[in-house]
Amino acid sequence: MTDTETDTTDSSAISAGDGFYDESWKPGRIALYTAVVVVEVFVLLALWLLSHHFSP
Amino acid sequence: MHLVDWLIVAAYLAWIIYDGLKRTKGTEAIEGYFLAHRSLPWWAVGLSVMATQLSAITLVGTTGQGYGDGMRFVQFYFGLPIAMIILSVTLVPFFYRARVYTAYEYLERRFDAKTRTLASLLFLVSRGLAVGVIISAPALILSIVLGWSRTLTVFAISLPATLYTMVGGVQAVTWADVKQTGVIVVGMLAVVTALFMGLPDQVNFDQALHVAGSVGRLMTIDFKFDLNENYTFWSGMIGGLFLMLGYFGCDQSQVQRYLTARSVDAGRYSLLMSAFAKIPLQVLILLTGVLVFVFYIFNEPPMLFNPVHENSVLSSGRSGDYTNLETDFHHAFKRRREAADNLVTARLNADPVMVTHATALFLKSDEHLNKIRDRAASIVRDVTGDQNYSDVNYVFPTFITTRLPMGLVGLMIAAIFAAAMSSIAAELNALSAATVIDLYGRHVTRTATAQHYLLVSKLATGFWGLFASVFALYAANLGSLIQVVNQVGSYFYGSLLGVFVLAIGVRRATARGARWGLVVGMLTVAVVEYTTNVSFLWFNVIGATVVVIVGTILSSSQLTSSRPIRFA
Repeated sequence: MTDTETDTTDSSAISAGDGFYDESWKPGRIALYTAVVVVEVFVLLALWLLSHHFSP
Repeated sequence: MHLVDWLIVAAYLAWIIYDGLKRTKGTEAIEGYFLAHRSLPWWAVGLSVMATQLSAITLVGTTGQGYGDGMRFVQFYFGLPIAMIILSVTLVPFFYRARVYTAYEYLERRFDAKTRTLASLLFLVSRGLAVGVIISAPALILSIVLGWSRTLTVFAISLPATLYTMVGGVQAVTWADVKQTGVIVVGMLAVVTALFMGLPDQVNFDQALHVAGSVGRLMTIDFKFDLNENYTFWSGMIGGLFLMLGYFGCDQSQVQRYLTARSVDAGRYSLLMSAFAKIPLQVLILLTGVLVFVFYIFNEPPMLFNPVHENSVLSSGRSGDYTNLETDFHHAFKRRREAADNLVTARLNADPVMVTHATALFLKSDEHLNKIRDRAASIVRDVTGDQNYSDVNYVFPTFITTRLPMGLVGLMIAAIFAAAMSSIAAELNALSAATVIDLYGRHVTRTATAQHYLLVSKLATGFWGLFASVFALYAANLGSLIQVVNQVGSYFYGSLLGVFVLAIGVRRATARGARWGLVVGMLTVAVVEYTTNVSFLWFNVIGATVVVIVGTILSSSQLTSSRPIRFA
């Protein structure tokens, strides 16, 4: 079966990138994703401090 | 165990089964059975996502790692938050918009039926066997610690999970996961409290962490870039990122969790809950293991934590050697305890010279104790022939059953059951979905009634539960096979992630390119594994990269040598 055959028989076939430029990038969501990164940085920093404070 | 503890375990099992069985509302259609009509709140889905990932192997093995190796393992999860952001932006809205039941269904929409079937079969084989391991490992440990037969522990874990998943579908799985996560977290917090109460009066939280830190148990971040090292900052950040993208983005057992959310945003939030909570939760579990280590500095531990192996040695010709070692171990423990007391006193006096001296003595006494344990383990290996002997997974269950107060023992045994069942139920639900949606409904019959598909889905759940239970009964004797199962998983995630990257990110990618890319990616990972010492986390990076490169090249050459592909 070729790709062309498949695509013509499947009426709901989709293409790469379909839907990528959607509402994923609303300001509220960007703020949420930023919060995830900020929290992770703080957690990593806390773990690094834990290592260095309690280890000889 | 006291009668009260048995009653707690029995009550927990009865509660989970009863609650699961009554959650049949809305499961008369297949969308309700597998996706709860896409109606669940984000927080319930988020807890289910976390419960599915947290198996009993994680709970028992991670505390054991904390005990023996410290906190380094937490680096494994460093890539998870970033993976969740990437998935929230890419695959979650893609899957939602496509209105799919399974992740692999999406591949047919984008490529063709062959690619979908190949990916789904890979999932079914690797996950079907992995569920057996997920049941087998805790069943073996619980059978030894509780003194039950392995058959009994296997079915005590698998039967309730299979039953409520079969009857209640994804709703039963999700709401059971919510309760099970609660039981696990409450249990772990109670254990940490009990651990502190079991320490001498002069050892407070700060002192306990200093004692653990003096032998490196709190070394958490290792910035060394070494491909052969399992847990470093870089392997966690890069290899872990690819692993988590593969696991949460391409493994039906996780994809199905967030497809049940009531909206795209709810799906995103359910994943972002893990992004916020997963690393702190793992820190709690590892820290519990570290505190068990500190507890056993001030309270004498058994020389080896696996009583079955110990009994084998004691009834063999090496029992004399072993008994002598036990005497040495007892003296070594007393010396280490004294050294630890001196270290705590030195720290309380804030005398840096005394602290340095006491730390050196404590390190020396700890090293001596470990050498005795190593010699004991060596005798076990000689007597039993088990060259991979390690009692790391028995540390936490032994601590639970011998050191915790009445009531808390039952709660923690229930928590181990909860961790096992929450993973198994989600896996069975996903295996059934892939079997019915990707294979039966696609290749066997496409025009049956809703009742027919629902019946087949329930039977498929029961079949996979039985298959996994039978495999679990034999898995303990098939050490190398378990390793193969884990290896297949590591071949699978990175390479399948590569196929999804081709699907959503490479417009020119074709089905043939994706399929051959997948095969070449998995083969490459197999070659790397057998010819190098590269750590398994990097397999995900290698697999995904090879699939994308090979898939893109093959797709491009196909495009230039034949007719152009028309996308809808």
